Amino acid sequence: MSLWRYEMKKLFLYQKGLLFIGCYFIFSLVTLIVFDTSANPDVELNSKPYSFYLDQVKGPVLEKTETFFTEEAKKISNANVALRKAYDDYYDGKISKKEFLAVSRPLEEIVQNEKGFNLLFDQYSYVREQPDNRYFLYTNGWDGLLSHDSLDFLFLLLLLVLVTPVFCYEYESRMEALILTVKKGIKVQAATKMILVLVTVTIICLLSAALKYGFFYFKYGLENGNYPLQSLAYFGTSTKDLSLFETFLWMTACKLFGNLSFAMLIMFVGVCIKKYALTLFTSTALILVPYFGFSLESSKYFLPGPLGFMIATGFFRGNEHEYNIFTEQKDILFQEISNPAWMILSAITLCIGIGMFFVIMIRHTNSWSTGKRNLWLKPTSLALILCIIASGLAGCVSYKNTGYDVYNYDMRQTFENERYRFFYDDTFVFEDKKTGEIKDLVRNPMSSLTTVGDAIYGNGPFVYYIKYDHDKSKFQETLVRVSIIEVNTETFHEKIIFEKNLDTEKDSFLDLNKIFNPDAEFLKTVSHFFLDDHNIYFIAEDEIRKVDKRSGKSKTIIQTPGIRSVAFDGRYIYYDNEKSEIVRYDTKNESETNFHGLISGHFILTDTELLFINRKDQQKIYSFNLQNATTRKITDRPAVYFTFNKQYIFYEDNQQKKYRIDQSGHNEKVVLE
Amino acid sequence: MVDLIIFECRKHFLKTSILVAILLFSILNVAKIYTVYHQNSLLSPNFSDPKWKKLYWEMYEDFRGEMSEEKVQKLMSIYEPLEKQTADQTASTRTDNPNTYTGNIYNDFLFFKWCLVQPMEHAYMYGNYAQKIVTNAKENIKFYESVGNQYEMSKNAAIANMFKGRAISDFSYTEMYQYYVHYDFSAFLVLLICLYALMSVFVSEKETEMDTLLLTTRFGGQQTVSAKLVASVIFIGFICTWFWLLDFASFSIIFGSMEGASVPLFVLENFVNSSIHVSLAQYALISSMLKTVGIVVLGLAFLLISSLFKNALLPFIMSLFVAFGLIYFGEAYMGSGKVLLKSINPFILVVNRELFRTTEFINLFGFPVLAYIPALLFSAVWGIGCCIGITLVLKKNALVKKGGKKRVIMEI
Repeated sequence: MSLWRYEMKKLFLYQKGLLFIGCYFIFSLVTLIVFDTSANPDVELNSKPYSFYLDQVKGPVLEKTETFFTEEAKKISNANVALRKAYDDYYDGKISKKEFLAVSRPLEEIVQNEKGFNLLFDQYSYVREQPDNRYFLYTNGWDGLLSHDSLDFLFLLLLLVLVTPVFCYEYESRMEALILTVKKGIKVQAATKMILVLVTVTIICLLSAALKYGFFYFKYGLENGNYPLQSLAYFGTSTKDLSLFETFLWMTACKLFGNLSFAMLIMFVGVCIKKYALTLFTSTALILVPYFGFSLESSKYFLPGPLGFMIATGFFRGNEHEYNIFTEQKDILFQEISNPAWMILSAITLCIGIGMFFVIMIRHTNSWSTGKRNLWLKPTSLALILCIIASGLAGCVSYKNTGYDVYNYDMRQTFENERYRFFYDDTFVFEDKKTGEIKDLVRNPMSSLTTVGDAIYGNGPFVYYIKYDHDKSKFQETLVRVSIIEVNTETFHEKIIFEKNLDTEKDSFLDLNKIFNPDAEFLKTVSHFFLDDHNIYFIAEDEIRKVDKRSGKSKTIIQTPGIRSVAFDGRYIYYDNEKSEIVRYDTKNESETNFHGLISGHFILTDTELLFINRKDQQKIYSFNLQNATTRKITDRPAVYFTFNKQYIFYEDNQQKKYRIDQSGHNEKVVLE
Repeated sequence: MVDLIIFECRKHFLKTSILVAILLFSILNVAKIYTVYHQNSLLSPNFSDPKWKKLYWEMYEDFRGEMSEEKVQKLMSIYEPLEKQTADQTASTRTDNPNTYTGNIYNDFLFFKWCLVQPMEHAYMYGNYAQKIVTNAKENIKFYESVGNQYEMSKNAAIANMFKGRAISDFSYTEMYQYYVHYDFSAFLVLLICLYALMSVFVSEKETEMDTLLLTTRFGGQQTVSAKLVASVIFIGFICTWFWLLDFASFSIIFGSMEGASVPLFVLENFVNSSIHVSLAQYALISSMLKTVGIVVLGLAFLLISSLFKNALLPFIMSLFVAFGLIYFGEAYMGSGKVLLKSINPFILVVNRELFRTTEFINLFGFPVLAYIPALLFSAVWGIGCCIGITLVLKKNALVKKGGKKRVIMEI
């Protein structure tokens, strides 16, 4: 018993094992809290409408499910049409407010969950491919817990720092010769050490699994653990007949087995080599070289040894293919590890583990160690171990102007400041207001491998545009990075104010930055933006997303279908919602003010006013004063569309005649018959 | 001193374990290069029709060398009919067509397009592109002069000067170089070997408590430390040279060609905006040298960490952590326009194509300086810093251990 206590004291206190274990758990938790992003952020953003529909179809696909989706899609589509008509009729004065409310309320109830329905419909598209083993469920929790195949580097380092000194410490201090002379210093001590390490690793591994389970349970919830594994797209093609919770348990068991094998391996190498540096090097190389060296993701799982088991997720995945445009055939991306293969691998790894156990016991004897050292054993064993890798590798408040220039979505390709007028003409150009000279805004002489977006934002002397960088390290060119460039128009000096990696598969050293990037697809397609001191706001078809300039963290702040008009004054974002109401979003307080009276399909913000086509008065142009909240009619004719150039309003009536009128509503003039 | 360095080299690096590791990692490296070829080369059987390889080298004999009007016409006389016939996708899809090179007309079209026409077009048109850059840069000089931006003026003048007269006259097979310059796995293996080999340099004497005794000898102290540092640098130089040579030889043999050595670097499409006007072979040499410098700096950092401890356990873990940290941040800024953040990391020298792939400048006191100069300077600072750190740490240990202020030198 005293030997146990002594070894534990040595491992946990003297060699600071407890400190390292504590640090590991703190770092792990911090990493989870800081870096974890949901697999599908849209679901989190629309959790209420999504849950509304999910609760109705949760579980397997039933006969009525298809009817449910068809009918619901039809219902939402009809409700949208009817609601649009109701709004049009109401704004045009064809129906009274009472009638409008009677019609619109039930319709609005149907439409409010549309986004949730769309998300669930995407899931349905996946589920119906194999309805037998794909169920409807909330996937973010389980995806976070199970759907990744990265190696836990912190755990790897913890095992190295914890297990290596178990035997090496005595070799280093030359105490092993002394210990071997003691009665219990031979096999009993070796067995005690190994059992202590295996028990410790088991406890840490289980605690680590419990920590991760707990984190995802509290952050997302891990419901419906009895649903089939294939319900998650990551395991979609798997042939394993397991539930989600069973998979978690099996995965934990695999990881435990892998980590125990790795601990055995470290001890085995330590006992054979007896030196810290070489033990650490060999153990690390045996894990990292195949981890980074194999090109095919599944290859590392076919390698007997700890690595595959330490990652474990690959044992539960199915065959995955990718269409190759060159060969016009399907290239294998991931090859499933069948049950027999898995069992053979486990058996081989177990045999290796047991073999290592006995070798450690044999080597830890006084008769073996005295003067009979085979000089070739060290390199030979190293060669033997490393050969295994080599063989497998070939494979409405008071309004205050914020000092910002006003941004209008309608004028996203133009901007004007005191000296220049910027506009788009195949590329961005600017006109010197004094001389009338037109020159290019983007002055990078090297045009290859970069493209520029078709929208700009301006504020005072600063103009911003989007630049896309491409990479051609392989045959095909790939978009790798998006940057927002600030141009100071006084000196035309350029500065990068924001940049983000879009392609994690591009040419890189070890791909350590291969993290889940939900914004990549969004940033590849969106080019309209405006910004303030801290954030950049990207405008997509049905949402506005805020991205922090420094951290790059994004958040959807506005969601509304079919955004038509957006304006920004440095603090407030104005947009028209699905009811055509103009809404003001405060970027500081993250609150919204709805101008219920202002109904418009198109508006433009000026320094003091909102100019809009008033749906409630036959589409005539009105202005809304932001300082005193008063509304004023500008035109007597209905307008289909209008623009504003800081001096005049140019509008087109339904007869396609074009007029010019000043902001005060005077001096109307026909400019084009 | 030379004897001391040789002795240190033999003591720390001439170990069977290191030699075995080098041997096995070399085999792994060759295997990895084979998979690079297999997965990416247009001529590998995995990527295209097996007939392509034979056909390519036949055609290459006709079109290699200086791109004359005659050669271009000849190629276009083959390519244009293929392009016309396949344009509307109505041509026969039969695979045994005797009037084709590969048996299938679409296959022929793709072969000529990807293997010959596109690379030749790029090489042929590069002169125009470079001229356009010079024109743009000259226009920029005038423009920035008008707005009084001296820095941008100098920058564009440098660009105009750099791209002036650039052209590619010869058509050559460059696929081997394309994948060779983007290959990094060998650097990772070298880092691992260095991590192991350098751990024992300062630690081995501490483990055996010989460090105290060593201080009493004539060449103990500063001279031993210097000898160890020089021996480490020599070892890193040797191991890097071996792996970089192995890379080059393996790429040449596996891709089946050493063609393209004299063609300018910008023949590679990823390097069209390169800041240096050198041939591919010269670039391979420069890149290898800088990679070695990068590994030397990282190696010195490993030595500094190891000099702080008495055994190899914690320094190994910490060095691994530091190496991965530097790689992580290096990768995060790969391709980034934030040149300062990129060049401050010594790891950039290991993936030095980031410095030469494009023409990027740093504003150094109002002067535009090409990105690789500050990267080299920063690395030099890190390297010297590590050396000074090691000297200070070991000196401090010596004083503490002696318990006095002056070291006693004994003649034995």
